[in-house]
Amino acid sequence: MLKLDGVEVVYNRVALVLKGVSLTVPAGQIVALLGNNGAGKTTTLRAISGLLAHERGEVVRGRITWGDNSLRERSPDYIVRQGVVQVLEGRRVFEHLSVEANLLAGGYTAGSMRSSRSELKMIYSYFPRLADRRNQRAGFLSGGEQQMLAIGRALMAHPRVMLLDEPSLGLAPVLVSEIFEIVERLNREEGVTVVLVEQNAEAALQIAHHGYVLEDGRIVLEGPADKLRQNQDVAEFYLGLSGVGERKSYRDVKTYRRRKRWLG
Amino acid sequence: MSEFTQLMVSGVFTGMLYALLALGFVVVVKGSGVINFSQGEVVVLGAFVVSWLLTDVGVPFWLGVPATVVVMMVVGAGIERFALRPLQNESMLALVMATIALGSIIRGLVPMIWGDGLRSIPSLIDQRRYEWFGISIPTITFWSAVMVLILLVAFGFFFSRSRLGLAMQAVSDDRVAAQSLGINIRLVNAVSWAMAGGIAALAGYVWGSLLGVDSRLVVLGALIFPVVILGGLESILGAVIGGIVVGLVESFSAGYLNDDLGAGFSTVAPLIMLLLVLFVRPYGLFGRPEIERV
Ligand SMILES: Nc1ncnc2c1ncn2[C@@H]1O[C@H](COP(=O)(O)OP(=O)(O)OP(=O)(O)O)[C@@H](O)[C@H]1O
Ligand SMILES: [Mg+2]
Repeated sequence: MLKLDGVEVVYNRVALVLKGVSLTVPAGQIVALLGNNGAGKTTTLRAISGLLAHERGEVVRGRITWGDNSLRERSPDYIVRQGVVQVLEGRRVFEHLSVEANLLAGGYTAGSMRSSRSELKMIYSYFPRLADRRNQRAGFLSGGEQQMLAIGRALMAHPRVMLLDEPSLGLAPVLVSEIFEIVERLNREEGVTVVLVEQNAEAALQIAHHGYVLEDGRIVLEGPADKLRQNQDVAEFYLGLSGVGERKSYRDVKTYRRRKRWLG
Repeated sequence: MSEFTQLMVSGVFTGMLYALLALGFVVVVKGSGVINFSQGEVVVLGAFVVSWLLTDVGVPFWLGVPATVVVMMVVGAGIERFALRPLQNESMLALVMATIALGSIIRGLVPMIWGDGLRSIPSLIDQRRYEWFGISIPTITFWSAVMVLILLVAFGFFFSRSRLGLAMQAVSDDRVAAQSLGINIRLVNAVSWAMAGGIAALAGYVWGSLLGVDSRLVVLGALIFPVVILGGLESILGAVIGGIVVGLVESFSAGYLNDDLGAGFSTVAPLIMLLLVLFVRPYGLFGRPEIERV
């Protein structure tokens, strides 16, 4: 069981972004984490996976545990070795490496190159499209293929919990359902526990067992997935209004920030 | 044999030695993404250490050169640990400035330790030249080029076949994504700087043997840039190709243009070429255009 208890996160030592988030992810389940732009979904995942530091973020309060292990103040590589692996928002494949090299890099913590190689077949059985493109540069894959590669690459690390950050981002509806089906299969067949961050609440709640709604750094609603789907507020705020225009402008802000970091 | 052939062969062999200079730079970009402006100075440091060990301390060649490699690997790892790791979450500009500062520090430190005089490196190989089919190559250049080739093949295998090499490539491509897979970027950064230090030791030995060891060797640092801009900042094969092109440009301009344009022209020719290349292809001839991630 993955458990967050009153977790608070601060960026740049000033901006309090998570204001006491508590949630429970039972082993073997898919739990959806929904919410608008800037609600703190990605921050929650980073807090779990230890990837806050390079963003100048910090967990200042609360507990994060996986089974009996505390994940708070642990390095990302320790957390991956505990079986908790984040699939980053925006796919982030290694663009200049081949599909196969991406997958092998994913197996870095899991064992030798040889043992990683022997597992490629399993990944390709889940993602046959990747098998056809194994020697292609990942940067030239389509968005959907890159998302598959990002998930496949994380699978190579032998995750017991997979933290998926908006896998549906920018994908056509057919692809979204294809990828969500695979996620569901991974959960069912491999027993991978999934935390599924989504803005596409409709799709997420179809495969999730349980859901949480995050708003401005707080959990404002939670419940079994089918209950949430019937909930009036959720329907109005998260299923109906996807806020496409708003989202675009927020993305622009994010890109700007990334460039700015590069320049100092 | 014609002058042309002689110039070409000299250019190719010297080019391999430029590739050796650039290799240390490339390894750091590959493993940590940092554009390292101090590699030239690190090479100079390597040259002083090896000349000090071989002449002042008097250790034999077979011990002195490997010992220098080890010392310089420690220096490289130390640079990473104490100068760059504290800045690891800062902008790239901060890191680049740190390497520039480091270069200046080394430049100031070296004459403080070893003085200003020209030193030499006793050569294992005699100072004659090979004469083959009318082409003449200094023995030291020839054997250095052979060593560089072996080294390049070894590094090529390391990066494409080993787990750590692959992890290093992953870090240079996207360090956050690499971290998300449990790749220890501190380890990877330290290893790449240690490698760059070891390579600098070899480059210092080779170039110090050719030119003599004094602080003027730092001009070599400037020649790293035409090589890597041509070859791509993080391509090992690119470093070889870039090195050879720079070697050829220098050799031919020394042979054909220096008489008309002055003796120094061959030294600046590679840098002029660098500018021209940047005008046409801002990311280098073989470099990769950055794919903007959003
Ligand atoms: N590196 C950072 N430095 C400072 N503030 C940040 C940083 N990353 C995120 N934030 C801020 O924290 C808040 C939550 O961001 P977060 O990325 O967690 O939201 P999100 O729910 O994932 O949104 P989205 O759906 O757009 O991905 C936002 O107000 C954002 O501006
Ligand atoms: Mg997000």
